Formats: sequence, structure tokens, C-alpha cells
Amino acid sequence: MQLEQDRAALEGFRRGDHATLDALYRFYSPVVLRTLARGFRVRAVGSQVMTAVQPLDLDAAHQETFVRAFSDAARLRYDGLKPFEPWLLAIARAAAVDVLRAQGKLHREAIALDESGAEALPAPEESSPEHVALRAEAAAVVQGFLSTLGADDLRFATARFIDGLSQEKAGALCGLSRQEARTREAKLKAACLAHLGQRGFGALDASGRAIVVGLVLSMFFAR
Amino acid sequence: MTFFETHIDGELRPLGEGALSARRFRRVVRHARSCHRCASLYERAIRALRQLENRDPFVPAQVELDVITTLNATRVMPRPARRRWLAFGAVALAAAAAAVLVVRPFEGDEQFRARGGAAAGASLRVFCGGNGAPLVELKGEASCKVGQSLAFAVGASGANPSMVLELSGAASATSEVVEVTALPGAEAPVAFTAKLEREGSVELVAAFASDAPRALSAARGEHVSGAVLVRKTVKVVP
Repeated sequence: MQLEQDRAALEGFRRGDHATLDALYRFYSPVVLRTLARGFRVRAVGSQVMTAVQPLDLDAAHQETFVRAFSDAARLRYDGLKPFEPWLLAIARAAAVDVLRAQGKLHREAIALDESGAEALPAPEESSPEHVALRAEAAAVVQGFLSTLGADDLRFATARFIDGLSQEKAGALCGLSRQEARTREAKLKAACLAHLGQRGFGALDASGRAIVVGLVLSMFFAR
Repeated sequence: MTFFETHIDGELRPLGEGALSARRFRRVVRHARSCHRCASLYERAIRALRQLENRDPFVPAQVELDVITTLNATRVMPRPARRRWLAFGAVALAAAAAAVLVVRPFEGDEQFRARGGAAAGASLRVFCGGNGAPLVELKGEASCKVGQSLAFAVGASGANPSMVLELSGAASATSEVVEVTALPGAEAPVAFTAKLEREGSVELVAAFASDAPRALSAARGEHVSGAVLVRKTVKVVP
């Protein structure tokens, strides 16, 4: 949706027309989410660092972005000459910095940097040790999960999640219809998260549950 | 987090399947924010899901895009109708307050006392604002903070068109004589403000009289026939 090239949409945006705002929101929501999750540069205490909005903060930063962009003052401030997307993403970065600062996850003097000239800097994923560590951890979790799969599931998962084939192609490789491939993928993702929960981050194991039940019963009967 | 709120383990499977509703997703995120254990689990689960889908833990999964977009769709829209209603409501409240002030200015309200006859016909409204805070009208026991300023609006009947405002106590100042053209109920702002430099209480006296010398005399406390004094006390808090 090119707001700067559509005068009617631009007028609707400035007027606060609900249909126009809704269309803009639906179009740009994934763009904002991807930008915030991917990471951006901030300047804090004289140095530049890469920061990304963590999954837990993503909805708050996303909401704050559009609340600011759709406010009366912001709508009137947008001149309709410069492209809408960079304007919106600048708001998104500033909103994300404010959300992270408010939670103490960024230095209180941190500010988002303009992306102009970003190509001269290293790619975000290569410039942050945290990014590298998280990337390695996610890859290890997936590899650990794949090692638990049977032959059929492993073949599909490898084609889909490692080789990056589309759902349809991965299904065809394994002799699955489109619907079967979709179902198989959903089950594999759910199994992966369940696997993650059982590997130390999730529910108590049987002995842990027994200890908790014993503790509660002893408190109850001690009266 | 409430005492009986459950952890998010049971929601991981529907999250992976993309079957988590926006409402349940909100509950999961809300709980994870207040639970260190679940925060860690949630972040790892989402990154694993991203890795599976996109082979990149920093590209949002489809379920995130769908659910967050749905979740915030109504929250981010401006609400002009409600704001208009609030504006109308604020005007109606201000008018009602002014009407109370005008119709019953001397009937036992300890904040306001007047002398000068039954046909008093004068009203004073006091506002507090500045220092980054919005302008609000002070009513009843309301107070103003140190560093903020007082502003005023007055209205008077034709019998007493001259007014002097005098402040004493925590703030001390006297306005010039103001020619009041607005009627009670449709008060007009006065080009006089007073900054509050210290805490305590400020005594306000608005002296309405038929001409400027009489208004100044009434403000000084002298007895002036036909003059109306409206008094108000404003508390100044740190």
C-alpha cells in the first residue's frame, strides 16, 4: 500500500478514516513486527549496539508503534511526500526503544539510530554476540528435536525445516498431499515445543511433582 | 500473576500448531511477563518455532504475525467519537459547576463566602496547570502542586463589572483591575496567572465592584457598598 502515491488514501489517513487506518494496519503490521524482531541499532552511552525486541515484548512494541503512528498529531505531521514505510519504521524503532527502556532492558539514554547508511555497517545478526548465541541455541534446539524423530517425520522435517523447501514441495517429496503436509508440519511444530518443554524448561518431572504433592499434604496434615 | 494462575506449559502445543486464540495468547504473554520461569520457556519456544519456520530465530513465526495483528487491531485505532463525547462531557461538567457556583454561591459552601447583598451575581473559577501538567479546574478540596500556576475565569452581572483578584498566603499577588464582560455561567479567562513557589495554602479574594477604585478598596478589605467578594482557598502541595 503506497500511501504517498494514493491521494485518497492519504486524505483518509489524515482524516483518521477507520477503513484507511485498518487497511494500513493490516498491510504494515507484519512489516513492523519483522523489523522489531530482526533488530536495529541504538546509541547508548556513546556507543552503538544492536538490539532486537524479544518475543515477549513484541506485542507491546507493536501496539505502541501504531498507537503513535495513528495519533492525531502524527497523522497530520506526515507530509505525504516521503515514503510511508520508513516513516512508520522510524516510529517503530523509537517506540521499541521506549518500551525496552521502560522495562530496564536498555540504557535510559539509549536512542534509536536512523537506518540511513545502514548498508555501511555490519549486518545486524553478525554484529551482536547475543544474536549469535541465540541463533546457535535455536539451531541446537531444532537439531535436538530432529534427532528424536522417526524416519518419515525426519525426512519431511529435513526437507521443510533444514532444506527450506515449501510445504507443498516437502510434502510431495514424502508422498503427502497438501493437506497432509500441512497437518504434518503443525504436528511437528507442536511436538518440537513440547520437546522443548520436557528438556528442562517446562513442567516438573514425576519426582518433582511427587515432592510438591508431599509438601502440600504434609502442610495440610501438620495442623 | 494470581496465586492460582497456571504456567504456560499446556499452551505450547497449541502455540506450535498455530491453534492458540488471541485471547489465550494474551494470557500466555501476560503470565510469562510476571513469571521468570515461563518467560524463559516462552522465549525459547518462540525462537525454536521461528527457527523451524524461517531457519532464523529473529524472523517472527506466522502465528506471531497473525495473533499479534489480531490482538492489537482494535487497540491501536484512534477513538474520535469517544474523545468528542469526553469533550462534550467536560464542557457539560464545567457548565454544571459554574451553574452551581452562580446559583448557590452563598448557601453554606465553606469554600465560597460573599458579602454585598443578595443579588451577588459574580463567579470565579480557578484552574491549575503548567509544569508539564494539563490545565484542570480546582473544585472542592482539590489542590495544586508547587511549580504549577493558577489561572482564573470570572463572570459578573452588569452591576459589578470591575474585578480585582488578590492572593495571599503561600503566594502573594494582586491583579490589575479587570473589566468583566462575561456573565456568570459563561465565565471568561483573566489575563493573570500566579505561579506557586512554595507549599501551604493560598487565599484567593475576587472583589467585584461597580468601578475600579471600589474594586481595589474592596480587595483591600474595606467595606464598599454593593461590592461582592468571592473567596476561595487553594492548597499547594509538594
